[in-house]
Formats: sequence, structure tokens, C-alpha cells
Amino acid sequence: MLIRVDPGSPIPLFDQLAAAVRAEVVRGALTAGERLPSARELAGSLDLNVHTVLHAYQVLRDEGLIDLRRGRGAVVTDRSHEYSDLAAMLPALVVEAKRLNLSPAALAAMIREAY
Amino acid sequence: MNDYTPAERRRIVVIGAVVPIVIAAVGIALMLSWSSRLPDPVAIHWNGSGEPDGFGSLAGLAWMIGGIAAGFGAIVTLATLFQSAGVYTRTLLGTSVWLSTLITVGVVGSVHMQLGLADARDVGDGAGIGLWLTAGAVGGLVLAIPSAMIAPRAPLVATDEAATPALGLADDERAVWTRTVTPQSWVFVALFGGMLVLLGAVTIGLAVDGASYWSTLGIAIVLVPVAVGTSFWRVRVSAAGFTVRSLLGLPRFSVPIDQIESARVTQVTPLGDFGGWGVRFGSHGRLGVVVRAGEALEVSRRTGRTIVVTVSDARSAAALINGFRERGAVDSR
Repeated sequence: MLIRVDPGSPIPLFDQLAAAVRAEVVRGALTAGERLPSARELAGSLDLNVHTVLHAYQVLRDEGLIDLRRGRGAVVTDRSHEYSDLAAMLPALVVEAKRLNLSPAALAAMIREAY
Repeated sequence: MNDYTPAERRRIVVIGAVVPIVIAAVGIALMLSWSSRLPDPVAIHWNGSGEPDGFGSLAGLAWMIGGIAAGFGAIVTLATLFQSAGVYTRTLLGTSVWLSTLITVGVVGSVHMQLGLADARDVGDGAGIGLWLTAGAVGGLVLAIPSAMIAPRAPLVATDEAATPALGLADDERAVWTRTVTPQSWVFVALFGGMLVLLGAVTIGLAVDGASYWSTLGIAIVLVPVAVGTSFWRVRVSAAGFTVRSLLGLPRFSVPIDQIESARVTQVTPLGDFGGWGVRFGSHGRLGVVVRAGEALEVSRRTGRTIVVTVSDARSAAALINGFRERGAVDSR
């Protein structure tokens, strides 16, 4: 999996990290049963605090995308299959938002409203 | 058909088939010329204590020599011409000469020992057989090594792709790419099936007849970690560089980012490019971590050596390596 985070961005790092993992699931680079690197290893590679990575892993666990088990690390769950259906709807949304000159933040806000 | 020139193709046929068949033919002719002075049947097999325990006709031996030399020669030659033998091309062609010499000298020598005998059972002396076989093996090497050296090399496979385009990285951006490498499912099944059979055999052996199976147990204890250690790997690309590490921790190969020249995606045929699976040395200074066929990441060091790892999503890995390289080059300006 390819993970990119930008400390210069206003989006919190743990959020960027979780989003990157989701994107890799959608892209098919991460599949059910696959194990993510340990929080310590990932934190080391990305020069991040290990708590930032753990925070991201907890977010992903809470939404059911990964399982966190002592000794086994973070493992992608079967729910990962369902993410691609959702992801398939996104391009249409983005195209429409771009046509209206909406920023990504504005589109995200609209989605949040709709919840 | 591979990209050999007509001259190279002729050399492949001569070394792989013609020379071995001529060696066999000379041996057969010599053997048949002795037929009036030989017992009938002749001894064709010796037991462990050096006494003949198998007898047959001279014609049968002639067919055996000819069959092995021609059969192996044909397979090697056709495989080389039509189905690349890759790094093993010259070894295979040399082996054809060696095998033919070994069989011919060994068999003709064993017949020579029986010259003038009325009954093949009187030949006795198994030591003579050992000498002839050794002479065949050594003589075979004397002929095979120069043959292999003048045999053509497998043509260099055309470079699949140039260096993968670099991933654009922002100045402060951090990135990492990791992936686990596992064997294709059939290799997986074969590997663990083989281990189970081995362990089962050892267990039964120990239960039935203890002592003599301890060595097999020793082999199993060594083989299992080696099989696991060279089949499952973790590959990582980070700002520090490239690392491929066995899931057991060792072996481990890494290249610091500032020693990397470039990275690209390539396609690997395990047998053709590396002569098999596992940690392998290919031609042209390539070190391979070869677990499956197909997509692979190739990392070139500044020294010109390369390391190749069969891994999916190699394009992302190569793009990230080249992204780090490019950003590093801009920074140091």
C-alpha cells in the first residue's frame, strides 16, 4: 500500500492517514485479510508520532475496515469489498461539484449536512 | 523462437545434439566391433558388493546409450531454441555433452571389462565399473566445459520499460509503500504439501525405526525455515530507501535511497530469468527475490547492480522511489 501524508495540509495527520488507507482499499492495493504494517513501523517510515498512527488505526477499526488484535496487528476486514461500490459513486459527485466550483471542503460539508 | 542468429542456432544444434550423438555413436561402434569376443548375454548391472546381478544383450546397451544421448540432446536443443532456457542455456548444452560422455564411457568401459570372457558372471570386480564411471564423469567435464563456454548465451531480453515516471511529492510530504510478497497459490500448496509429506514421513520413520530417521528430521528442521524464509517477504519503500526482508527477519536486503540510481517495473519468468525460485542470482549482476512469475520491481544501484523483487503494485513502488530520488536531487541543488 502507498501512504502519503502532508504535514503542511490543514487536515489532521491521522485523518490523512486513515483516508490514505481507505483509498488503497478502494484501489484494490489492500484486500481483505492483508496485514497493515505495525503502528511503530509505519510511524518510523513516515516520521510520525506512533500515537498519530494508532489514532488513525482506531478510526479505521471503529468504522470496521480493520481489525486490531494484540499480537496480530491491524488486519483488513471483509468490509473492504463494500468500499469499492461507494467509491464508484464518487467521481460523479466530484464532477458535479467541480462544475459548480465547489471546494472539496464545501462538498464534504454538504455530505456531512446530508447525514 | 528466440532471437538467435543462424550461426548461433547452428552452434546450439552442434553442441546440444550433434556432439553428444557422435560421442554415443563412436562408443556404440566400438562396442559392437567387439561382439565376437564378448560373452552373450553381457553383464549390465552390478550390485553393491561389486558382483554382476543384471545381464542383457549388447544391442540393448547400444540402444540405451543412443537413446539417452539422442533423447536428452533433442530435448535440450529444442528447449534452447524454442523455449528460452535463460540463464541456464550454456549449462544445459554443456550437460548434454557431459551426460552423453558419461553414459558412453561408463557403458562401453563396463563392456570392455568383459572382453575375452566366456561367461559374464566371471567379470566380478565392481571396482572397475567405478573407475570407468569416474573416467566418464571427468572426461565428460573436460569436453562439456569448453563446449558450454563456446555455446551462445541467451539473448538479452529487451528492456520492458524505461524507469517508471516519478511520483510528484510536495516538499514536506511524507510517503511510504509496503507490500507483503507471497507465492502463487500452487507454489504455496506445493511448498506446504511437501513439508507435510516430509514431516509425516519423518514422524512415521521415527515411530517405526527410530535411529536412522534422525538425519531426515535434521534435514526437515533445516528445510522448513529455509522454505518459509525465502517464500514470504515484506517490501518497503520509504524516504530512507528500499528494503526487502523475509518475514522471518532474515535474509534482508536494502538499498539506501542515495545509492539508488532508478527503479522500474519489469516482468520476471522465474526459470528463464533466475533459474528458479527463492533468492537467486541472475545474469548481468541481478539479484532476484523471486517468489512468483510476472510483475516485479527492479531497483538499480548506482554501482550498476540491480535487485529484482517479484511483487504486485510494483508501479507504485517504482514511482515512489523515483519520486524520492527526484525530490532529493532538487533539494541538493
